[in-house]
Amino acid sequence: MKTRADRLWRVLVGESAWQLAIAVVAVLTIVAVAGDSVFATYVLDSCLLACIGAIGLNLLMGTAGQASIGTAAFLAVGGFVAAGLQRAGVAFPIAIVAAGTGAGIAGFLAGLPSLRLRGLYLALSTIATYYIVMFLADQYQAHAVGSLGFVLPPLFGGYTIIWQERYWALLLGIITIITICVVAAVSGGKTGRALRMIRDHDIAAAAIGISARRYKLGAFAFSSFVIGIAGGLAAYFVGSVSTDNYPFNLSVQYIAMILLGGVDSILGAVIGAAIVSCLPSVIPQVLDSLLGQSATTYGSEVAEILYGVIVIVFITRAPGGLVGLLSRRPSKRLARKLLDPPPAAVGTEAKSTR
Amino acid sequence: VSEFVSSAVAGVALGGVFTLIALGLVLAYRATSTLNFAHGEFMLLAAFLVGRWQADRMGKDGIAVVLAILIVGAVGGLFYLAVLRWMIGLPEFVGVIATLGLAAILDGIMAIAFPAGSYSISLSWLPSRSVHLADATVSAGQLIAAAVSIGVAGAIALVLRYSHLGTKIRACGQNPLLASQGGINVQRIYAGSWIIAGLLAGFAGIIYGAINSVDDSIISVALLVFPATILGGIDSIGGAIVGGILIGLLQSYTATYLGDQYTDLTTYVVLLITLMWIPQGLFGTRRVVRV
Repeated sequence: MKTRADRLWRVLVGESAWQLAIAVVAVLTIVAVAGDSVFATYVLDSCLLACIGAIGLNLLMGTAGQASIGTAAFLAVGGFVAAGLQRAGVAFPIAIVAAGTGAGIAGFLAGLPSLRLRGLYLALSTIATYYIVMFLADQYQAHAVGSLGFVLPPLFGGYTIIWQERYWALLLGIITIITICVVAAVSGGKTGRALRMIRDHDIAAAAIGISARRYKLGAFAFSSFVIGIAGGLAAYFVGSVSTDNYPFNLSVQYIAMILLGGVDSILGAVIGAAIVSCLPSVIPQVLDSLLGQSATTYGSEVAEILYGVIVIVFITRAPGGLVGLLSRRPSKRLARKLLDPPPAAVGTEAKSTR
Repeated sequence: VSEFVSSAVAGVALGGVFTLIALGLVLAYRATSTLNFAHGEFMLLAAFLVGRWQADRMGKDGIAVVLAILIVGAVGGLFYLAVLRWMIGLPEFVGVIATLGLAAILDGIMAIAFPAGSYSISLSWLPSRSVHLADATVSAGQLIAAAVSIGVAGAIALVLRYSHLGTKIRACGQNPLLASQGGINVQRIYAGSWIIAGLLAGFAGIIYGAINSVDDSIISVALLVFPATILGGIDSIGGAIVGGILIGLLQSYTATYLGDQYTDLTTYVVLLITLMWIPQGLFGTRRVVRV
């Protein structure tokens, strides 16, 4: 019962939909570059940074199904490697690649417990990774620069503030699109199928010769590489690196992003990252215009409450996230209910979505 | 030697609080298979309530303590009724994420309700003077806190072991289907477990706040208790007590002999070691799925 519109819809918002994700990122970038407000461009820049990290985490948690509450640790590795290399006089692109590589190695090590653990226990082991990384980072920071942390000079130092933000938007937009292409190639091809097989049927995966060890460690390393790139870029973007920048809740925010947008969907990661990273800036403005100036003091707190409510509502009511809601259009569900397809048709339907 | 003894007392005092926290975590886990990431917020909420009450000098401290603990218990129960009750059949991890959402909500509410962000609690039965014990100077408050919290935790463990209610709670934890067939209202027991978890967290928060200070660092204390629950066994009530005291001692000795900054590290290294070699913990049920 598939119409052409249905098929198009699935291409646009299905699991391997990356074209729409690129379109969303492109729109964000163009808005950021065209905008006149420094603040708005800054928010959109942070949003693009979050997109990169969320796409990386989505590969690990969504596609490979390995629970991780350690995103902040990999962001920190990226940030500290970039900051340390910048101090040593290394050029920006090399520092960023090194940041990703460092985080990738950390991710490989953090992934070792995944060979024996899964679910909650694996998540707890990633919290252990977080604390170990933060300890090492703290020691490094204390010995290298003291408790205030690293300060990085602005990357586009010669320009006015608005143009600095605009150049950042361009740079981040391009890197995000490259990330989407690479991750889409990885998760759309053989590797993606193997990862999903391990996620959904690990015994069957082993039976047909998929090495869980190789793919899981690979997923941890590659996802952390992407997150580390985001961490390194964030270090340059924010201009400072300190252990205070990487609270435990940062990992939680990234989990919220991919749950909100839709697990195992690049488009979902982008949408989720955009929403979660914009909430703290947008909610105060909305409150401001609705309730007048007096409400501004509680803007970020209200944003946090709202964010918690969104997490609970989505995890309980829409486990597929926003993308899941979109790809199951009500009309289609209704049609299925009305037509009441025989079991065989259900089987082929389920197969074709994969 | 005096250093050894005073760190032992500090460790057992800390371990006592950990025991209360771990017991709450274990009860909530046994009820709904949910590791509660909002436990730290539960503790902080109670401590903030008492701290603000004392800062405003509103009346007897005893009432404040009881009220604060009851409020946190109510939050736990409400969270079960409003959210976790509807999660039957969903993966365990869904509930864990929901507690992260609850943590964010409570963080936001507390930031609005307690703008000072930092309070101090003084309880008349937790004196700050020090006493001498085997040629070491130890804080009397810490000794009493250790005794009280381990006493409370032990009493609750005994109740769970020997009372009719305890049997029901354990039955629901082991096999909800058979328990409900046996005429137990499973949902009521689960709600009760979450209420008790909240009460314990509130009590632990107030005691911890009274020995230390009340600010959002209390939240990270609960994160440091996860290793204790895993070490003792995530579904073992006795294990929560043993694990709590062991981790408390470990942190205290680490702080004394290595330095404060090493406590998170050693605690979580113990967690990693436990996860890799005995994931069911010292006293837990052996049902961890290994890959």
